[in-house]
Amino acid sequence: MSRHARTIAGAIVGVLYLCCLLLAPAGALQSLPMSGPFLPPSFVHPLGTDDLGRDMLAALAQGGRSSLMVATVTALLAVGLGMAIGMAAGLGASWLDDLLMRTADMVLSLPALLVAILVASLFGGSSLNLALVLGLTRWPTIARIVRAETLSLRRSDFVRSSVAVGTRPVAIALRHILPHVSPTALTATGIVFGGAILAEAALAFVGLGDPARTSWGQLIAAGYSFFDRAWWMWAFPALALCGTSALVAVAASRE
Amino acid sequence: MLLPRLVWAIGTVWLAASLAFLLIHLAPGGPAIALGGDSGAPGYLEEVARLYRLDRPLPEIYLDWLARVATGDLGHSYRSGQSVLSLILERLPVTLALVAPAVMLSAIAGTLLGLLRTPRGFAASMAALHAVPGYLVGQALVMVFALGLGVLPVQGLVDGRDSDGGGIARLLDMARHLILPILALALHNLTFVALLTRTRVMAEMKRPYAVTAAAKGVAPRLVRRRHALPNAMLGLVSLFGSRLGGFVAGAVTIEVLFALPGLGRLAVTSAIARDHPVVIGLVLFTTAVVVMTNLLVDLTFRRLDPRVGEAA
Repeated sequence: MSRHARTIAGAIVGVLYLCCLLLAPAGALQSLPMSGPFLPPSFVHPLGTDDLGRDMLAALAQGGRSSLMVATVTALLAVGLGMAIGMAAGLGASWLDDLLMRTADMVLSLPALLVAILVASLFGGSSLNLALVLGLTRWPTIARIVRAETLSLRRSDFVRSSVAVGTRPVAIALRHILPHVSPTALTATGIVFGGAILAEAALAFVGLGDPARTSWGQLIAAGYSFFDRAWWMWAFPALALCGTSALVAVAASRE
Repeated sequence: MLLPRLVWAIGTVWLAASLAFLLIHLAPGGPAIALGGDSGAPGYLEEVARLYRLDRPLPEIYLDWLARVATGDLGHSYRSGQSVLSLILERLPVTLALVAPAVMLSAIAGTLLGLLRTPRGFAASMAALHAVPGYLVGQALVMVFALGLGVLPVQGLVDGRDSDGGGIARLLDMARHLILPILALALHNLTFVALLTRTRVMAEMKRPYAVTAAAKGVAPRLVRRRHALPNAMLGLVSLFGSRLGGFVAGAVTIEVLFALPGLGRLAVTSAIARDHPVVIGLVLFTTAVVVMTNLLVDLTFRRLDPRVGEAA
């Protein structure tokens, strides 16, 4: 994938999400105004209406907003933890490196979706809780990559000179390592971002989503049962989810 | 070099048990609801608190909890009264019948796809296809093969209408019901395997032995299949082992979509009914199974290829 295509894919996702954020009506599906049920796509309702006569475009925008919120919080949490832990492992003593990377391996082996289901069971479905679970279980992917780059940077002349003149490790990490590992870490963050979009939709699909927010997964599950009389109820949410997640995958691809 | 892997395996299960403990004691309504489930029967929570002796200091309860997990005592479901472990073991065959064929199918078909002479944009299209969640693939398959052509059942594990058929007829009926779920789970993961195979084989193709084979005049297709693949296989299968968790996650939505009585659907229905001990048990059980499978894969490799031990 050329650099060009990746940039375009990323930009499309950004613009689409921004539109959802700016244009989505407040509240969840319940608060949308109702008109005729099962209306096919028209000028008034570009994507049709659902079984209760709610505008599908408005519902999709609301779904995009929750998707973006979960994915953003997850990605911020994962990239913050991942970069800090990755750089600490790469720059620190070997016992610290061992400890952090062993922990990373263990955390990565936890079944994140089941933990999210457990949290939904104990605390109720909530977008923030889901983002916390995903962020706290997905940082190792970023930490591993950041550590590997830090280890090779550590041997480079400019870092060794900086150590020689007595720069503190934290300053080295922030001023010399951080700018160099950022591009790779950002790519890995894209993968975490895409994973969070899919996880949010999957939880809502099985009925464990945030009841206060509309989700594409919830719309897909609802639309599926009306597919024979209103294809637009299923097809548009499905397209929104796949399209976004595919664009994110392209934007985050390294080849 | 076996010890680090063993430490990792036990450590991971310990981490999951500790995480569960933390969540149980943070849960609204207190640990008794989390440990016993939100049944609402009078005197039930007091009984649970007495059973787990929750009046003791927290460290003591924690050690007791770890001991319980280690011995497989995962509590009871308030809905069925069954012990969580027996409930899980009862549902396990369904999930295995779904996941095992899907793993094999995506491994074989994905590897073959990854070995093809790939056109430009192959990697991007596979990555984009991988972005389609398994349940959407499943819904599309149902629309075509079950609702459209009417050749395969929409959902369920057995046909309720002919309950008299025993033995082989029943097994065949189950297999027929599992075709679409297996395909849905496999298609989603197949793209991932294809990508992985391609990347690995491409890396092997740059090594001297592959270059030599190509220079000798061996057909590129044969170099890929006979020379590069066996060497790439090693890393491939171990990476595949780490994907097992992904298959379990995929099985959750697929089982809900196709109404299969497996572990994933058990987790979802239990969570909706606030039958917490079952969900906690499933998290711990899944972690243990994923960890043990990875350990087994590792051990097998050590026998197959002596280089593994040295590299690790």
